[in-house]
This record gives sequence, C-alpha cells and structure tokens, in this order.
Amino acid sequence: MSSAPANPVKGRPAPVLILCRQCVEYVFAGTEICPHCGRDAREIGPRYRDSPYPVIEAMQRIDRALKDRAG
Amino acid sequence: MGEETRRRISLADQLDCVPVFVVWELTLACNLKCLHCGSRAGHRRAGELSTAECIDVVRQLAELGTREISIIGGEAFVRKDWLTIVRAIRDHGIDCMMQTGGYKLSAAMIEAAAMAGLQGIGVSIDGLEVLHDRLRGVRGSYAEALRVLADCRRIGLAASVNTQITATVMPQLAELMEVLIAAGAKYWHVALTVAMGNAVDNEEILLQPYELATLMPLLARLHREGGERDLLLLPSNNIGYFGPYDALWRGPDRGHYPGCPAGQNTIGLEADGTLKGCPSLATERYGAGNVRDKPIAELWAAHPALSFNRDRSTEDLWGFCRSCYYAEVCRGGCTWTADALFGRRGNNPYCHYRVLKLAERGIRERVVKVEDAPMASFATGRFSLIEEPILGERAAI
Repeated sequence: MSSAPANPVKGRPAPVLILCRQCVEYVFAGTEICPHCGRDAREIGPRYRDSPYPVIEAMQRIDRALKDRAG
Repeated sequence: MGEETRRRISLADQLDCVPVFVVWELTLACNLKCLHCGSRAGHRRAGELSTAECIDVVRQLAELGTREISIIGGEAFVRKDWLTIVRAIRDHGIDCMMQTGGYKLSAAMIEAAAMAGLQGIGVSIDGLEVLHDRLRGVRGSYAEALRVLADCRRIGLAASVNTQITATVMPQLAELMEVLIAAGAKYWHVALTVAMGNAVDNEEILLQPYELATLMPLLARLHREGGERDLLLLPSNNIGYFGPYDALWRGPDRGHYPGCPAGQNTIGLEADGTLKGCPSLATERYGAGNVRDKPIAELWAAHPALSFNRDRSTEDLWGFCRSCYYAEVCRGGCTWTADALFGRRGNNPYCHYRVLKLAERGIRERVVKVEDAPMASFATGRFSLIEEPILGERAAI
C-alpha cells in the first residue's frame, strides 16, 4: 500500500457526540443537561443501562484503542 | 493494516483531508435504462479517459493516500480494459470494489475480475422482480442480479446488495430481505433515491420527506432481524440523521453520522476525467477541473468545488438545518440530496430527526417539482418544499 504523503490540505474533524445516559439520544460530548429529555445526560438511567449500548460502547472503545495503537 | 482499519476514516485522515475513498465512473455506457439514474447513463461520454490515462490516475491517487476505489458506470465492465484498470488499482496497493447492475456480467467475467484482484461486487436490487425490472428498464435484469450473487458465492468473491429506496419499494422491503438472505448476501446497503437526472423525470418514484416517519422504523426492524440472520443492513450517506436509530446502525461509540465527507475524504471521478468531491454531485456546480489539465493533487489542494466541507463551517446551512441542534456535526447531511432538490446545499428535508421534530408541531414536509432537469448527465431540476399540517393519523414516532 502507498503511504500517505505530507498533504498541504487541512480539514477539521467532526465534533464528537455521545449517547445521553438517560434517553439514549446523541448529545455533544461534555453535555450536562440533555436537550432532548432535560435530564442529567451523564447519569446512567435504566433505558441506557438496560440497552446493549454500554457493552457495545466498551467493546468499540477497546477496539479503537487497539487499532490506533497498531497504527 | 487490517481491512476494517483501512476502511475507517481516522482523525488524521480528517485533519489531512486524505481522499480515502474514490468512486470512479469508468464509462457512462450502460446496458440498463434505470428510471432513477442520476447520471442518465446509456452512451459513453465524449472523450473518456484512455487506458494509459486511467493508469496514471491510479498512480496519482495512490500518492494521495487513497485506500479504496469503487468502480462504477454506467456499467464499468462495459469498458473493454476494465480488468487492466482493476489490476492497476490493486498493483498500487489500493482496494478495489465494483458496483453493478449485474446484467450480462457472466460467471467467466466475475472469475476474471477476481483473478485481476477485484475484492468485492455490490449488486443493485431495487425491489422484487416486477418492480426491479420496471425501475431498471430491462426485463430479466432482476434474475440476472440474483444470478450474479449466486456466481459470486460459488466463485468466492464477496458480494453485497445495494437498494435504492423509492416510494414504490418501501412495501416490498421486508420480502426483499428474505430474498437477499436466501441468496446468501451478507451486506445490504440502502440509499434514498435522489431527485437527479431520470429521477426528476419520474418524480412519482421519489419518497416524500414525511415518509421517513414510516421508513426509518421499518429499516430499524429489518436491521435487527437481518442481523440475527447474518445480513447486515447498512445505511448510506443519505439515510439519517440522528434520531432514535443512528446509534443502532452507526454507533454507539463515535459512530454517529459525521457529516458529508465529499471533498474531505472522498473523490468522485467522471469517465472523461472530471473531478468532484462525490461522484453523484451536479457536475455544473461541483466539477473541480479535469485530471487531463492538472495533477489531481493540485486540484485536490486548491479547487473551491472540493473544499466546501473541510472547515466544517455552518455558514451554508439554511432552513431547518440552520438552527438544528446537530448543525455543527451534520451540516445538512448529504450534500447531493439537498443540492439536487434546491440547487443549493445546506437544507435537507430527508432527515428523520427533522421529521420527528416537525411532527411534534403537527407539521410535515413534502417536495414538489417546479422545474424539469435538462437532458444532461448529473443534471438537476428544482423542487419546492411545502410545509403542511399533519391531518388524520399522527405520524409514527
């Protein structure tokens, strides 16, 4: 595979969203009060806890970290 | 680098604007006559690139860091030198896929393509037999598409299915999924048909924005049911955005829709060498010069028709999208979908989140054609956006 050259073109990355721990809708990282449900977006509620997302998120984060490390 | 890592757009790819994905129309010649074809494919373009020019394009893309080229048409395999081009792509260390209608793509051609290094084929199936054949304009094209899937399976070449979501196919999607599972498909890419080219002439096939209230729960159900039976339904760039199902098929960890990648991490190439940020964009507004006139690196670095997504500005947004909570991330979703309707990007009514928000206020949106599209490739017409009260049954939320 060809390695990417030094590229003079610069872009900005997409802002990061995370799931509200209450209503499981996307919110901007760092959001305290969820604009969708009005509750604390950081405090884990039953809807998030009982969904498959906590496990999937954890697996994806580990996977991403391993891949980033592998380059 | 593993296959999945090569396909993932990394933070560095975004910052350095690496054109990771290229979709390349090798020829505009086509053996189908699709009612929804945006490029009005049929006859080859005047001045399509020669074999030597194509190989030089591959070299330039490899130098820019491209990791995957998807060849399309028209119908890519109508070109006599298509396997030479596939081989050149693979020799430069770039992954190569082909999107096809599959009509007259024989088992021998598929075997030859696999030998040349082609790694996968995406076959278009737009409904059950009668509907597919009507939309694709050729009787027997449905049977041919299924035969190609079977041949790929026998030969051992990865095959996926692409489905254009029209108003007409929505009631057939569940049954179509059964056909695809029986055919052994593992990946099912779905995309909304966009108002461009032939689809403007046949606007009755277009889904109305408010119909996303019905479509998205259906896709979510098919995603879950398909997943349990080894068929993964994948949304294209114009299926979204956010709302209750984005985490289901894109997430959840940073897997949300990141905004349109046109010109930041994707390139579209027309057969005559015209460069664009995405293969589907209107050539008139998004053509960024020709590879015959300047090196691709030079066009990629400087042409304004390629750079509009790179600073992630929200200045281009208007209408609902302008004040949307997700504006900074989504930026109006698929540039092509919005631009094809209104001749201007930045306001996309084909958005589930938007449909649900409007429904809370008892409002829905529909589009109405007010101007035909010229008889040219990637031509757009004009549509009006009508807001109206939701009468009778409440929209499914």
